[in-house]
Amino acid sequence: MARILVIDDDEYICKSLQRILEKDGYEVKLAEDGEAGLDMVSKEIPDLIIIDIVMPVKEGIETINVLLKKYPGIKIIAMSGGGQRLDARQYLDLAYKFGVRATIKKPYERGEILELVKKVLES
Amino acid sequence: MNNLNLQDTMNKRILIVDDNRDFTDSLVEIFEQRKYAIAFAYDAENGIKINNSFNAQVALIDIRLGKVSGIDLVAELKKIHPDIICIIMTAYVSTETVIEAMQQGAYDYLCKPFNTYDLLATIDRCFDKVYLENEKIKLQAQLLQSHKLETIGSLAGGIAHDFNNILTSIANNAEIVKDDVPNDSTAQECLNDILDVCRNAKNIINQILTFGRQMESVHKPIILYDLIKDVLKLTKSIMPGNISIKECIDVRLIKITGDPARIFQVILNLFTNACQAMEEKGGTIEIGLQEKVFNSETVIENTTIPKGKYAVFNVRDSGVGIGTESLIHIFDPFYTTKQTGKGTGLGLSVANGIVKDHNGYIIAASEIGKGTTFTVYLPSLN
Repeated sequence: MARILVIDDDEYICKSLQRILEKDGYEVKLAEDGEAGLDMVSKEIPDLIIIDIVMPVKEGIETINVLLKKYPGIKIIAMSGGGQRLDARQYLDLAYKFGVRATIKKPYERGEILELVKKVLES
Repeated sequence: MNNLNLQDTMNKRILIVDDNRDFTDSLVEIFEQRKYAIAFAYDAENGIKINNSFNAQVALIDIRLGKVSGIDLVAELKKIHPDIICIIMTAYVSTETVIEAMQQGAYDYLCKPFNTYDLLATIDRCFDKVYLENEKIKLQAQLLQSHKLETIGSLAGGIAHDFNNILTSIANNAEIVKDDVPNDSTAQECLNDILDVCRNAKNIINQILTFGRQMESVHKPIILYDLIKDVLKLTKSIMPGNISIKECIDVRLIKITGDPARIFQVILNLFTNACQAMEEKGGTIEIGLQEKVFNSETVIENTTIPKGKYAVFNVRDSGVGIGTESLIHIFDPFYTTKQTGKGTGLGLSVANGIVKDHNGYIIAASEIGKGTTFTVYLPSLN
């Protein structure tokens, strides 16, 4: 089954996403920010990365850019609930410009994220 | 301050208190001819009584009002109407009386006998003061309001971010638990309710955000260079190493009026486009900011710009360039030359819309192999 890395500084998002995805049979690993995420990818490249945008240490857009440079073609879904500077849609448009496969706005429902994960993995 | 005298004199209320009836009547005539609103009394007691309903902005008070001193009346009036401007009229000018009158709150004095010219000049000065005080109060209120709105706007964004995370976790966990709970149980009903309220909360957050955005879209003076610096800071970490930036800023302090968040979006969009155009080859992005004055209507690249003073912002890349055919459609929604996954084709049409909303113009010029320049003209506040 596909291996998915979730990168989000919100512990509860990580845990709930892990439960949802594992229930559907995916193998899930978690990272609390971009730096930790890049570190984990360098050890084992996952089939899909789901990444938040507004994060401390190394934020999402920067991490996405590094990931796509180092691992061209790697599948990434960006997620965001917005921030102080831009709203969710604006952050996600920016992520899309930098080459992620798909984006999802928080809050999402289980059905939505599972469908998106399936679609991106099959693409 | 002649322009201030153009205000409608009907709104200018003067109280006259003098025990010399003939003199008072002649003052009343002078002011009524000039359409001032007038109330008068021949003694202090009636002066106070009348002014309770008349509420004059300016009072002309004789220094001697029978038993009562005009200076005492000034003090009394000031107690009831702190904003009233009092002028003491006196035939006996001594430093002492003037000092005393001023100490009691009089604004100025007139020496009897005075001519109409001096009288009107003094009154004009008083109403100029009233006008400026009112303006000050209005501006203070506006400033406070705009600070409040700004706070609401940025709070809304911060709250939305945190709440969206919280809601995602609540809803997702409830959905997971639902799998393990029998269909017709109370627990299942409770979980459905949790999911329902999460959806309600999501709508509320969207409403707060919309409200916040409306608040933010209150236009205010912006130093354009500050926004450019913000964009450069945000994108610094994601700039490929083979791209360098050259700043050609002539006017660091040039101001425009607008919505900072939306203008930020325009700069960000033009800048990320430039980065993408040079992604493979690398090169230099030139960012310029100047002031331009058009003394008459000016046509640039088929766009007619009305005369006026403009803050001119441009982003020039040394990338692959855009062909004439593509350039014609560049601001059309969903038009993109980028490969799938690299752009929605909406960015430039949104940027164009924002610039238009700010009474500005955005112009694209390009040469294949040499690069593209986007120039934004926004009416300058300077």
